[in-house]
Formats: sequence, C-alpha cells, structure tokens
Amino acid sequence: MIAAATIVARNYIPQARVVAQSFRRHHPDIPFFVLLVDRSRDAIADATRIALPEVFTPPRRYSIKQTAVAAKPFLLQWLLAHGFDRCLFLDPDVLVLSRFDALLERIGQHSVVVTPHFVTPPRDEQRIARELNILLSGVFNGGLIGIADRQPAREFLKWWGERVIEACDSEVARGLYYDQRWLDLAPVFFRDISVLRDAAYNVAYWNLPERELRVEGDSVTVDGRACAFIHFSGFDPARPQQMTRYAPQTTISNAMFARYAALLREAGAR
Amino acid sequence: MRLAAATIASKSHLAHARVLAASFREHHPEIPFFVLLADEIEGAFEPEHEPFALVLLRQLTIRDLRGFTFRYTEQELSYAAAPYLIEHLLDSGFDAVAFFKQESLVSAPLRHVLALVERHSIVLTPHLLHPVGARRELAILQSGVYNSGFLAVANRAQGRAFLEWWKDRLERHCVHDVPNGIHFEQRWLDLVPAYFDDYGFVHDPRFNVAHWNLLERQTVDPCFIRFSGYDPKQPHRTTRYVARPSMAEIGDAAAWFAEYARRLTEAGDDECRTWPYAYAHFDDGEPVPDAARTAYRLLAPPLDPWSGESRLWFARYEKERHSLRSLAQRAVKVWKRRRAEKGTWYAMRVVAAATWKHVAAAIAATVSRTPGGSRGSRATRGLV
Repeated sequence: MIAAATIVARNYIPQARVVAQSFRRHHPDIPFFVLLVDRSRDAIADATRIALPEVFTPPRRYSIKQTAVAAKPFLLQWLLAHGFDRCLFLDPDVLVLSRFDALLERIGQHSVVVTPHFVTPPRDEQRIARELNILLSGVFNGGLIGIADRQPAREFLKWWGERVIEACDSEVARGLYYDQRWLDLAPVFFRDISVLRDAAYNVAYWNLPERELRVEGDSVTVDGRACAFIHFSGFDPARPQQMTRYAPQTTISNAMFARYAALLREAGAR
Repeated sequence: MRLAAATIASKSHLAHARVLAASFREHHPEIPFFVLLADEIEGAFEPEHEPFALVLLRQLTIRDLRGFTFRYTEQELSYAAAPYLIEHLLDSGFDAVAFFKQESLVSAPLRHVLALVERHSIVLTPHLLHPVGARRELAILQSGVYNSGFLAVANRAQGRAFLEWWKDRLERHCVHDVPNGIHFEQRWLDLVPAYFDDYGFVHDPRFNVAHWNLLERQTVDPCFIRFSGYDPKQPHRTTRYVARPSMAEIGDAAAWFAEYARRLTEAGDDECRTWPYAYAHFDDGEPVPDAARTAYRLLAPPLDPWSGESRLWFARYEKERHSLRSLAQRAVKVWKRRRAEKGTWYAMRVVAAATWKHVAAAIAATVSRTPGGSRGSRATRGLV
C-alpha cells in the first residue's frame, strides 16, 4: 500500500489542494494525506486531513514554518505505523505533471529515496555562487522524500526526527537549514538511501538553467521526457512575474508559472 | 590495475610526506608513491634520496601557475593542487590514484580500501559512519560530510568528469570560509553523490581514524590514521583545530600520536620546519601578506601578481579599502546620532565609491599605465 502526503499551515491550503488534485489525477489509486499544522475548517478535495496532535508535539519555541518542516519525519512515521509500506512526502508548492513510476519503483528497491537540487554540475557563469548556495542549504531537497517500510528507513526517520526537534533553524553559517542540511549526512549514516538523479523530478528555479522545460498544451517535458513534477519553491501567486522570493532577480519566461498561478487562484489563493 | 599513491607537501611539511610515504610502502611496496612539492626545492633536499617519487607543480596542467601560487596561502595551495596531481598521474598511465593527505600514517595493509576503486570511479571516506549527536554532526556539516584526507579516483569517464569539475571549483575557491559554504577543497565533495552515480564510501571504522571520530574509535586496530592538526610540540592536544578530544581523553590511542611524533622527528621534522616557503615574497623581496593573496584571488587585477607593480597595487588597494571602511564607519556614527541628512550624504558617497572590485580595477589600471605608479593616486582618489 502506497501513500502520499504533504504538510501545510492555513495559508498554504490552496497549494495543498493543487498538489493533491494534480497527484490524484495521475495516481487515483494512491491516497493523499494533508497534515495541517494549524486550525482550519477548509475542506481539501482529494485529500484526507490529519490534525497535528495525531502526529507529533512540536517544541514550543517553533514557528509555524519550523513546525511544518519538523513534522515531516513524524508524518512519515505515522504513515508507516498506519500500514503503508511505501510513503511519499511532497512539498505543498509542487505541481504533479505525470506518473511517478520511476520514483515508486525506486522506493520499492531502497529504504529511502531523495532528490538532489542539482543532478549535474552547473556550467554557467553563476555556477559557483549557485553551488555555494546549495552547499549552504543542503545537497538534497527536502521537498521529496520517499520511504519504504524497512529497518534503515525507520532508523533514518528516528534520527531525522531527533535532529529536527533539537535544531530546525535557518542558520547556514552553523551548518543548519531547517530539516534539510541534516539530509546531507543520511547517505553515510543509513546505507540503503538512494539518490534519484532524474531531471524529470523536482524541476525548480535552482536547476532550471540546466533543464530544458518545454510546455506544449498539456504536454510538459524536461530534456524531451515527460516532466514528473515542478517544485514552485518560493513562488508567490500575488507576484506571478517573480519566479521565487529566494532569488528576486530571477524573472519568469516559462508559461508553467502562469499556469500554476492560475491553478492556485482557482484553489482559493488571493 | 596499475595504482599510484600520492600526497602533497610544502618543504616545511616534507617530514610528514616522508613518514606517510614510508608507512605506505611498508605495507604496499608494489605501489609507487608520489609526492607533489607545493613549493620549490631550492637546494633544501635531494629528491633522489627520498622514499618517494617527486612531482613538481610545473609538471601539472595548472592554468596560470604564477597566479595559482599567489592566490593561495601555503596551506591552501597544498590542498587546491590535489585534483591536478591526480589528473597528472592518470595522464601518465596509471589506472587509478589513491590520494592521502600529508598528516597521516598507514598502519596496516589497505587492500580492501584500494580494491574499492576497481569497482567505483570515485571513492570517498566520510568523517563519521554513524550518528554521534547533533553538536558534533553540525561541526561536520560545516566542514564537509566527506574527509579529503583520502580519496581515490579511477581513470574512467566519471572519475575524469569529477576531476574536471573539482579543478574548476578549486581554481579560486579553496579557502576557509564556512559561512559561505567553503571549507578548503573539502566541502565541495559533498556534491559528489548529486552529480555522479559511480562512487563508493569506505565503511571501515579502522580507516581514517582521527580527532573527529576518535571518541568512538580509540579501541580499533587502525589501518589508516589521520593526524589532522596534530603538533608534536603540543603533546597534550590531539589537534590544534578543536579543544576536544584531548590526549588524556583518548586512552591507549595516545600511543599512536607518540609513535607518529617519533617518526616525524626521525624523518627530520625539526630541519624541515626551518625550510622557507618559496612563494612568500614578491619579486622585489618584500613579503606577501595573506590579505594580498585574498585581494588578488577575489579581484583578479590584470597584473603579474609577483611584480613590484602588484605590490604597489595591493598597498593602494589596502589604503582605499581602509579609507572606504572608515568612511562607512563615520556614516554609521553620523546615522546613529540621527543627523539623517548628513548621514545620507555619507552613505551616498560610500555607494558612489562603488564596489571593491571597481576600486581595485581602477587602481590596477592606473598602476599598470604608470610604472612606478606615482601619478596614479590622483586618478583613483576621485573614487572615494
């Protein structure tokens, strides 16, 4: 049994609706869960809601963002405990565009699957600045975590959960970036971790210069293959011309951002 | 498979290279051991009498070697040259190269480790193999998951691609700048699992025993020990980089350090330490300050860095930088006194003075136009 899930606070409910609906469109047989880290009465179509206390008790000092991030390993443990043997965490600011067959197969073969921010070294003039940015925020992106119900995965989740309870801040000079920098250590500590180096997954502003994203009607391709999902990290539908708030100078030339902004508005974003 | 082993040292650390080379050859006499001298011989020692084959910087394919030796300090240079040395040995016909950092000792055969490079194009050794608590793990995340005290590269497509990439990053970015994500050549290695499939880790706890994992490994029977930051002149400390673990905390493992100190002395460490570093002076004999290396590395002025012109450029640059800084400090002071109007004026002057790069380029231009540079100062003063 496979499950997919995301985590949102109230202000990200439109994103949760979009990711759940787009995922269910390609995988109608897989249940999609949304963990809500604050109170809301809003319904989320195509998704089952989970309340935070069912999953974990965040440290009192944590902000909403830290709570949402730190809940990740606990949500995955909760899914394993409820009998799902393959679990997939997706960030809410994701749009699923085709089936996840390669990823689900990989989760079947390994305990944990992660995707790197870059799958090939950047070669442009900004390559070093871009790589240093990734070295500060983490080699692997926390926006996609695949887990299989095996011992190394359970050990990984236990360790990751302990770490994000202890430190889940953005202090890059200290080696911390929320839950994400901890992942750099995971392939060394827990053997059976697979790095999915597939350009079709986790297309985002940070790797767009290396990936040829083409949009023709309903067909979205990366380097000529079907795109699995785009991660609109830092995208604000109120400022659709700006690709991400993390790099305000990057502007958009790709139609996908406008399409995503429209989907979010339909889903209730202001 | 034809394998080569190698390390890098400047003259002052030649005893370390001698000890490492001898210890490696004791267990692997069949594998040639190379030492890259990140320095000039200057008659200090006789290469043919050494327990290793000597490689010189000029034998490597380093773009703009004069700039490379200037940009980096003695320590940085001996780190930044690693991919060039490995590439050189692969080019000379070896199928794979095992690189070891100078401050280390091979204490048992490494066949199982060297065999990994037959299966993988890139072999890395992690600092830690198991969780050790958040505090120490954070320290590792600052310096890099993988330790650059050992790595092996095979002459295959991914090994070559890795070297090309690493060389490019180390051309200017092999410094200690943790807040910006750089820890010499080492932090870059964290990206290897993202870029390459054909890599392997050394999982043996007997390999790469060092201050960062000694608390867990002091009872192992080691095959490769790293004495990173160890100074025999400070025998109560295991490393100068961190306070713990102290020598008293590591039990019987302290004997490894004593033995290493003995071997260093036997290898002539006291004499080697007196040998001067060759890349320490401008052509006119004046010493090169580290700040000049940094300025040159970041700003790349169109000058021969070792020339008298360059020294003049740097002196001017420092002067401008200090006056800019004091101007900025004055602006802040004024601002704090809430004399907003005047503060704005100062702030605008600072902004108008443009970036360091602008200043530096302007100075470089005037210096190179006017040998001796006596007329350059007026032109640059206008910038501040």
